[in-house]
Amino acid sequence: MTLLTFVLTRVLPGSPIDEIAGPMATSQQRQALMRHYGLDRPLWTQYVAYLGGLARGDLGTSFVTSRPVAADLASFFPATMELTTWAMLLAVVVGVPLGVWSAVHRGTWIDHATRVLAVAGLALPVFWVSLVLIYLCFYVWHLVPPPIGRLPALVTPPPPVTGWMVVDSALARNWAVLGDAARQLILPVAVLALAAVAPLARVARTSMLDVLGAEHIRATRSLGIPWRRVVWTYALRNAMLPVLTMLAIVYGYLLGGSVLVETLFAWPGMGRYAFNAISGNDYPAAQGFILYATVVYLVIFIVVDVCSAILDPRIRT
Amino acid sequence: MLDVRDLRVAFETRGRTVPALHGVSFALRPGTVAGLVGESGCGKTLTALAIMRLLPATAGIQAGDVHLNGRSLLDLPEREMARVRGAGIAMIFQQPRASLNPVFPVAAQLTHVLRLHRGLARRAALAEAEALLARVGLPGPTRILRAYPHELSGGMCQRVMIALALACRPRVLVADEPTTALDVTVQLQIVELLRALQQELGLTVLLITHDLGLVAEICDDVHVMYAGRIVESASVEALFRRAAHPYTRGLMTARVRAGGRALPTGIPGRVPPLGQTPPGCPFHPRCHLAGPECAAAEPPPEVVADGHIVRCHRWRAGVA
Repeated sequence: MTLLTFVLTRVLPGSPIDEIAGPMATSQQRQALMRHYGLDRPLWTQYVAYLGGLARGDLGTSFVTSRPVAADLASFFPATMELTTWAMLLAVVVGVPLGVWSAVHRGTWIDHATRVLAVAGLALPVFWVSLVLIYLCFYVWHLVPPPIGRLPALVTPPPPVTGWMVVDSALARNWAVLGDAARQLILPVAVLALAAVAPLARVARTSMLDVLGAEHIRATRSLGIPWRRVVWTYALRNAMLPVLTMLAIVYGYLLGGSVLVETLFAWPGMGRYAFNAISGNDYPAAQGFILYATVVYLVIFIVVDVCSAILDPRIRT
Repeated sequence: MLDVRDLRVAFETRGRTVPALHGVSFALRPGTVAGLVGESGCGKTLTALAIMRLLPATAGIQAGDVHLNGRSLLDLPEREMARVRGAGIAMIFQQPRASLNPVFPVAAQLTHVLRLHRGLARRAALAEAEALLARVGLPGPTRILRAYPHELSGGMCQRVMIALALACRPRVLVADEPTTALDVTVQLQIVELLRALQQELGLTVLLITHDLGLVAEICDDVHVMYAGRIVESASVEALFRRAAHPYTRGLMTARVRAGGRALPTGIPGRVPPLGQTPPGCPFHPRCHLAGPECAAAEPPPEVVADGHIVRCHRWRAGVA
């Protein structure tokens, strides 16, 4: 994995020296910079040096920000994490009941309406929805603050503990900042959730339909347990397993950073960092981001496997 | 007790209505065991599900009525029907393992049913659940309560299902081929258990089966079904002494007898598929007694003796 990204970032056209040195640099200056960053050495020695750094937890230094990549990731990650997690929570709270509801009322107008909604959520381009919402909710109706990042201008952020604005301000008992941070979150969270609701609702509907046709559901009903309890207690737990897998996929995808949403809302997150790193040939930053994304995926899927095992005893044995 | 009158059920598929039950009528006498017998696909399970109002979404009740203690079940709102299920009529199924929710331990469902129907508190429900499991002959009830269905054998699952069904103290128990999916030795144990519970609790049982041996062993009355109709109803003694319908007699000769030298003779042909029932008596293409009147009109119920009813134009020719 590290070898692949190492080679890939390097064979892409363009050189970081162009960015660092600027267009007016002489060829001697460029040579000196190459030597300074070690880019004149053979590729495999560079790779060994990189691996050696990794082993010590050193991801290298960004050419652009001149800060350690690990420090950069640590400061951008919580922003994306907070945005994505709230969006996923919202998507689950809306999407799963929507899917279940749709399955229970299969073939009725309720089912068709929720399906149209879900498809619309998938089909509408995120940047378009963002722009429309910013225009309407901020510019026309003044419902939300301007899209300028995680806090309004001139507000002092709370002392960082978790890196989550909402949590940190609550820990600092700074309720004004908490409100500010929450208001900044509303629109970007809504936009991301809109995209995530569709796949969740669809999977929830399909797997719920599957479970509702099962014999044990008929048996449970034959015992006189009310329909509502049958659906929301007995069937839901069975139906959650495929939903959990879809949740992991969507969550991992969003944690990779949504360049469009983060750019439009001036959100200092992973998506923008990765975009800048790749377009600027910032090798250490790009490598660091890809490593981060891999680790995030692994962690999410491990967590989902553990949750599945809790939900379904058959996986445990 | 349980009275089924002219029950008609049809499947609705792509705008087409395919009738599956053509007016099924029978009554269960309190405290007795009635068998509902027939080949696969003749509508036995469908009848049971219609009584419970648990038909699949594609099937609907077209006409007829089901009375439990004089109260019509088909007119009840769903909420009240849910109260009848379990407490009035309970049901056990053919596939015991598939009938238990795989992601809940035995205790979860059992205590839920006890708390719901009998208003027991958590602790009392747990104690009662243990007692029920012991009553259905499960060793180590405490351990079983914590177990998940996949950790139990098929026979144990069926015992758990029986405990669940009896948890709400129903007066009628519908048993849909409760032993078909089990090993022969386990079948015997389950049958013994059902018979013991029936006598002890004074249950009224509708036993759905294709096993005439089982019918002879534990039933009081028998209703023979063919192609969505009851073709013969009688007490067990009357039926085994003098079956009137040629289909019933065919079923009897199709039985394998232990120690018998002759191979069982089957009934030629097979059950007509849904929607392709022949006109007149549905059995006439397979019947060795069939005459011209059999293809022309469906036979009306005729009384052979007291409590013995048959639907056949030519039953006299066969019985003689």
